Amino acid sequence: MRRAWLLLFALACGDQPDPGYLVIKPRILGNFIRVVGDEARTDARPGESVDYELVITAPDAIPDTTWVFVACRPAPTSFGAGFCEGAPDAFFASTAPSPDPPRIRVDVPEDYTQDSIFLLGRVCFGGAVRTDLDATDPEMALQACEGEGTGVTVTTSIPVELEVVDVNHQPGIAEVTLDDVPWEAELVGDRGPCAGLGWPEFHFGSPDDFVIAISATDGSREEYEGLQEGEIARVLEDLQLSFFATELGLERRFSFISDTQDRANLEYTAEEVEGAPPAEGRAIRFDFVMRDGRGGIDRISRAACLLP
Amino acid sequence: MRRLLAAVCLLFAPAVVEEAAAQDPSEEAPVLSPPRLIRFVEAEYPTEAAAAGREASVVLELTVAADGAVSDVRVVEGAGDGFDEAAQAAVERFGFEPATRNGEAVPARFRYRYVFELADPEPEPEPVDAPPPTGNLEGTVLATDDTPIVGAEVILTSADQTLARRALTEEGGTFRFEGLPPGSYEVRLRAAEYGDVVQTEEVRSDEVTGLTYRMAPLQSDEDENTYSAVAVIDPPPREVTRRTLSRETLTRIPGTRGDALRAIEILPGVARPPFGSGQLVIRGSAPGDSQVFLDGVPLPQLYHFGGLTSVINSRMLERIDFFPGNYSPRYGRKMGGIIEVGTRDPRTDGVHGVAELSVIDVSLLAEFPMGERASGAFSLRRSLIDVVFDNFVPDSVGVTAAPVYYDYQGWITWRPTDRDRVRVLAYGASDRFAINLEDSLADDPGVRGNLDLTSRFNFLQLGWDRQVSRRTELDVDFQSGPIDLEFGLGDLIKFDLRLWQTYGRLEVRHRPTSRVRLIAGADIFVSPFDLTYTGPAITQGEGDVGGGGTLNSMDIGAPLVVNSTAFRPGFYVESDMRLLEPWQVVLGARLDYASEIDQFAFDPRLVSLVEVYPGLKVKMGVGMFSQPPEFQESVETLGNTDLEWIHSAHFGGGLDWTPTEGIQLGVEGFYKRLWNRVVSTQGGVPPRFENEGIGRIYGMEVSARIDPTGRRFFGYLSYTLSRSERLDHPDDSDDQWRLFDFDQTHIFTLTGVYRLPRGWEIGGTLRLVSGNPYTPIAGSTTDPTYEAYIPVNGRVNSRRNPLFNRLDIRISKDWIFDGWKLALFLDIQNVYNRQNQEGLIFNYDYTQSVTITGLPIIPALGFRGEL
Repeated sequence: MRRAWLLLFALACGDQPDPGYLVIKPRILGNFIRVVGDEARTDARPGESVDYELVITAPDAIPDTTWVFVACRPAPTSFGAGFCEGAPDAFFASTAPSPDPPRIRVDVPEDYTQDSIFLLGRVCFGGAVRTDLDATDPEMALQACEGEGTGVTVTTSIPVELEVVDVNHQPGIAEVTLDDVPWEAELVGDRGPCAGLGWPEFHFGSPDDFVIAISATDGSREEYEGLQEGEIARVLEDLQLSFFATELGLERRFSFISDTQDRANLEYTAEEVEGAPPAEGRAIRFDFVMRDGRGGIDRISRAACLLP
Repeated sequence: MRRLLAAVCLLFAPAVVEEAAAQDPSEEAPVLSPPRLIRFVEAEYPTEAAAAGREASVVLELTVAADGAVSDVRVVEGAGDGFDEAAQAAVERFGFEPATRNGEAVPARFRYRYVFELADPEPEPEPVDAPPPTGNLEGTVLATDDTPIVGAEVILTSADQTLARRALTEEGGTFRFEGLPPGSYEVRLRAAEYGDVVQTEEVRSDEVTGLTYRMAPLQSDEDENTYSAVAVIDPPPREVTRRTLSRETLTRIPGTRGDALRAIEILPGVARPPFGSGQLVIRGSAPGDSQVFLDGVPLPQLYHFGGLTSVINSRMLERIDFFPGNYSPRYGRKMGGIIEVGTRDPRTDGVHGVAELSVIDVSLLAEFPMGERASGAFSLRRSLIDVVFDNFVPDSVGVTAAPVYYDYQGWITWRPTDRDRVRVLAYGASDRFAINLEDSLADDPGVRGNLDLTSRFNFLQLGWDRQVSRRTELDVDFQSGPIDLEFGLGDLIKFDLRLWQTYGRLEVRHRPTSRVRLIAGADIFVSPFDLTYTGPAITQGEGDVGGGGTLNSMDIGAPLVVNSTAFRPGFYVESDMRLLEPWQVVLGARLDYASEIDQFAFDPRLVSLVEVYPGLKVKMGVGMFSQPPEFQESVETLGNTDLEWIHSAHFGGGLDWTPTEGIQLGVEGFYKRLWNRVVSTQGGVPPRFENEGIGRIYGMEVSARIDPTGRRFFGYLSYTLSRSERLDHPDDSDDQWRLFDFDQTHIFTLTGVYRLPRGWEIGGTLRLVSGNPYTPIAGSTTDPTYEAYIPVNGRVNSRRNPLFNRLDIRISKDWIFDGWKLALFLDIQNVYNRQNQEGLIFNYDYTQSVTITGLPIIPALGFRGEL
């Protein structure tokens, strides 16, 4: 509650830290959970296997990554990051630097009786990962890298459907438009000169607003038994869109496709960009992640050119 | 043997007509003097009424001519059975000095109440071989603006009329009578321009009864001026520490916008809540551990939104008593501090009103007589924040209901006999704020949808005070009404609590001898409630338990619905004894039961007060205080029904010194031990709560109150040095003592108000307070499924915000016109716009933080008209 007060006052009265959409270091944007043999499904059942893969972005090319994960039964807790009950059931590691995102396959035992499998991991970008995980300690060491590098500690769960009620599938991003024009440009690798590439162009300091709109593929919003204003009801998923950019100027970080909005809309302006670009321009990477709130995800990247 | 006791009360005294011209207060007003009784004639008690043991009072209206002759005596409120005729016959033989205007005798017409009362047939026997004990009575006579009234006549008459004395108030408005036999006395005050006031006071052997009277100036009427008065009498103490504040002073404290209840924060032992949120933190106790009472009955909510304004009109307050610890067993079910807010009776001397308009809210108060023995008042207030609110929210936020609060109170006071007072109070308040977030704000995608906050209550309160006999009093209080609390945030959080709260109290006070006072009482709290909750697991309310993180990543269970009834009866006794003359001992005990946990609590309490030297008092107290768990902690499905009472032991002692009139100094030390505190289980797993926590609070308070009568200045200084710590799981060897969320090592407050000529007044309040503790963030983990970052706390409350400092000033100007007054005030909070740090806000992954500052400079300009 105290944090809620602080948030309200911060919004009203205080300075703001860097916005969450600004990508200035390697970031984990999400994770794909795919049931082996039925890749569109996100909820595993006892006896099935799951491919788990992190979604990563960075201001430039994604640096080489090392990582370690354990899979275990979750300890009972009502709050906090979670931890393992007892020794882990599986251990995964990749200590050789690789540009590929972390990917593991987790088997759900036939006799599994809990509604999720807990995953605890460390990911180190540009360095060597620490492998001394104590998965039973809720205050586990947070330092993910041995030395240099940008580290992230991951705590998440793979849902297990003990009784099949509402099957969940991945949502899909159908289209991204910029000011109602389809937006296809994509950046691979480092940001660099971009003038003349035919990408959408923004001009440094310009107050012009550009509307980014994202629509979902048919069937992305699935019906399930959930909460509606605090009450149990049959509801359609709201699809959460997360927006990321390597330069300032997004209106906010989230938008939604819901009963009242069939597209997620957001404005961008280059007015707030810090640091003038060179004459040949500077590429801006945009990442968009769609979530259904039940483990399903889709992701897409787009690029634009910032000119003087 | 029966004796006739006749007491005469001058209800409304006359004066002369004044022209209806506006006047500055500094201008000379005509000197008015009421008629003065110089010959009292005892009425003959009607024989049959005396035989039947009947007592009565008769109100008469009479004219005193310029030559002092009494004429045209008329019964206004009769009693029958021969009382009317007897009273009329006696009054017609009264002798008066006539009323005067500027020294010139003028005719006047006014009212008397003639009281017929039979003597106690069994007067208290005094020890034959003991020397006759005596006591002293002293006091101060002030105008309502706290200026002393010098030269006022004070006439003291014993109840049996065998003793009468007279004195004139001296410099500072003081008077003193010494060597008085114990018993009841009639104190009559007379002062030019102020009329008369009559009060019955008690003198106890070897004790000084200290009194303060405030007299309102005469108001002109078409033909007669009305004399009215208000007396404030401090009852003898029953607690180690009671700090009493009068409304007249509190409404002038800078930084409060004239809200008396907001001035509580200047008292020693009261911590500063963050953002001025209005939470009451008394001597290191959690806000929920303290209770505010309104005329003896619990008040569910003291302030509107964020502590902006209290829910009761300050102009109807008589006094505020503050008990930071070691209080009477009259107050139960709480183990922090107690604030007792007393309202006054509506005025009987005509129709009066106050209208106030400021940038925050608008209010109206009206008072009026209702016949001879009753009066009424009502008050309404509504906020004005919604007028400008839209300008302060982002375009993406849809405002469903801008913040609006209102409150109302309606009083009726009725005195059916001279022994009875019946009071009816209907009151309530509402706060509502609702917005729609189509897209989430900041870094939490779960914070979206409809955000609705509603709080409202409506109560009917009944009070009956009866003077059963000269030695016995009876108080009955009852209150009942609904409370609704609603909070919703999108689909994920819903808190809906509806309860019907009923509270009743019966208290009997009896004084078998002049040295002993016995009090016995019972109170009961009954509250059937319906609670619906959807949201994250509820954790202990303090100590940064819960882990944080974004709402969308939290485990939201199915809605929980609880229907239950809390039934909490309590019984208490107290004896106030003077074992040796300067030594007063108050022994008390309280027995409580709480149905929701099906357990009893027994709290013995002891207070000792010794006046070691005139004006110097040594005091100490020790006692047990118990409190049931909060509803959400102990009800089935949400909490643990096997919880027990939470306990606290209070130890306190100190000195009170009044070196001279108008200056009061005090120093106190205190220690509180807490056990059975309700804390979350490790990980919050069922049964979610347990009585494992302990706590310790210790410190000292220094206070100085400078309020010299006859001066233009008053001020307060308070300083608190304290430490409040908690240990949540003593059996866990890794757990350590930590600071309480609102621990403030140093709390220093200095307030001064100076009245300038021509109706101007200026004042300031300076606060220097240690910053609140906070918990550093050691790092975070991420849950990519929800794009959530979950903070990992460092040691709880191991860091502290910088020293808070703020200066508030208040400037006001009064204009007095014929029959009404206009005031203009400017109340500026945080004059030098200090950017006090109240906390930190973090970026999405808790690797970056920025400071959140408190309220900036806030000027509040307002007008107030008084009729």
